[in-house]
Amino acid sequence: MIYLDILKFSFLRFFAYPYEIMGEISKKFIVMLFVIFFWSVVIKSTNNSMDLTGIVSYFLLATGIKELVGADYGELGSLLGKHLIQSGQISNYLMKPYNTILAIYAVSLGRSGMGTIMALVIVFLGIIIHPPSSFLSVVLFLAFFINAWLVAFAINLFTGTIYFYTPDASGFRNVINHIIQVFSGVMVPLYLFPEQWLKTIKLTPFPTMVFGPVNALSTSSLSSGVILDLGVGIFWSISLNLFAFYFFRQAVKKYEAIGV
Amino acid sequence: MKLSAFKELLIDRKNLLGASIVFTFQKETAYWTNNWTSLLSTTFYTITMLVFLNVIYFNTTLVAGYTRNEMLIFFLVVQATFFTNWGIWLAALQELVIAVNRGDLDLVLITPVPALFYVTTRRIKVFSILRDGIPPILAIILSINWGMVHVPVFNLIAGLIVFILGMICIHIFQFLACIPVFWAGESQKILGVSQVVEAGAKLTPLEGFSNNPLKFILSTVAPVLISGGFAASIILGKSAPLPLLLWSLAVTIVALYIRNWAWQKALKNYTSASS
Repeated sequence: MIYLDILKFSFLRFFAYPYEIMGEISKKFIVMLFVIFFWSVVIKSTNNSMDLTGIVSYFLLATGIKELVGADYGELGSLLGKHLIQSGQISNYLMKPYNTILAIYAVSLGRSGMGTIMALVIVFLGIIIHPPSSFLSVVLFLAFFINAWLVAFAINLFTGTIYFYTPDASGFRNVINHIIQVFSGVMVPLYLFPEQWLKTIKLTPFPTMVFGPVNALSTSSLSSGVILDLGVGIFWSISLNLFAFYFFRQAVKKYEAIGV
Repeated sequence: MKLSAFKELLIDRKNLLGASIVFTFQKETAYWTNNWTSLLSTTFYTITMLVFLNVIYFNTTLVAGYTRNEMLIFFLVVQATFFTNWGIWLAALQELVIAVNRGDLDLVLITPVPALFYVTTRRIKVFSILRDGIPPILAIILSINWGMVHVPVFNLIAGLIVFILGMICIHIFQFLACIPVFWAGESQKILGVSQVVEAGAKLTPLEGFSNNPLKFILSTVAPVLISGGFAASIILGKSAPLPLLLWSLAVTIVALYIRNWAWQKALKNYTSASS
């Protein structure tokens, strides 16, 4: 399958610079180390009323899932916008007889291959520290994870497509990513938010991307709250994808390539 | 060196700096949408960080001995370090990596300019610092309850000196992260690692590190704690200024020496595009 070949090729290209692989791997660990260190300081300040193991497991899972789905600064958005549209290289993809979005997504998966392997290891560590509470947790995790992946895909496609309309949309991307970092649960577990804030935040697409799957692993019963969260996630994953694909097609129609 | 020669050297560097600033300004203002979205980005970052702090202080009253108000002052210092580093040095370092990777550094090395000075100062984004830095910093300043803050003048001056020394240290740390490009052909990700270390160290105040080995590492080998953690701690009167001031000075002197040594080594290893 051509998309699999594209993915493999993009993944292997990364090995041209071994120092860069080391850099990529250590970056993930350093980010996690500092976040966990910060939260250990916060826990000490609360006279250990929070559980350090729980927090460590939360951030391992959150960081891993964030990387797997590309929740903040996902490779798809970066590749599509900064590398392809801004430089004009997108023409090369548009001319070829394959599905442009799928091909670009395959490249992005290949480029972030090392990050994905790391993320799987991190998620595995998080699960070892804090295993799923029941079989239902595993099923819910998978359902929330699919939602997370679809929402993150749509947001990446949308933020990348903005580059068709403006010479540099990195500012827009940053804004969306700053919001994602706080309201998806990457920086702070959402259960620490005041209850009124949490109710509102849960209606947005952001918690679906990280907090949803992480929280599902410790959910043992199918309460109305869980069904609502899942429903909100499904709503956003469908509507955002419809919008992102429409937005991309409209942008391509207006695209003027140099030399074509 | 004779005084006249020294004066000439300073005038040359001032002219070079002026030309770089003007050219960078033209680049910064080439696309009007960038101006607004960049401002929007930094403003949103500050807003989300303020939300983050509010959520933490909703669950506790002190973090590492810092009240919410003190944490906001720490955050103010940390943001100032970010805008200083980003506005003065970071773009030039990113460009240095690309220049070596593509062999473009030849163009710098064959021109009669002080190469190290030029490659580290050629992208000073004065306009961006003002445009993107002032509104978020104002938002933090307005969030602080200044009535509850007492900062002795000596602490403020010592804190500012440590801040400047710390900024030089961060720059050198990131400059050294670029140097592998001369051997490996690429070091964007290594520079990225140094940025992640810098950003991570800014999360926790100095007192949060207590006697953790990280504190030693982040104030010597990777001296990213000086401009934020050290300076804020001195300004807030949580640490005695003199020992931290002397420590920062010593680290800066050593770092400057290492920078010059590493640059000389790197140049000897540089294989240009045309050679």
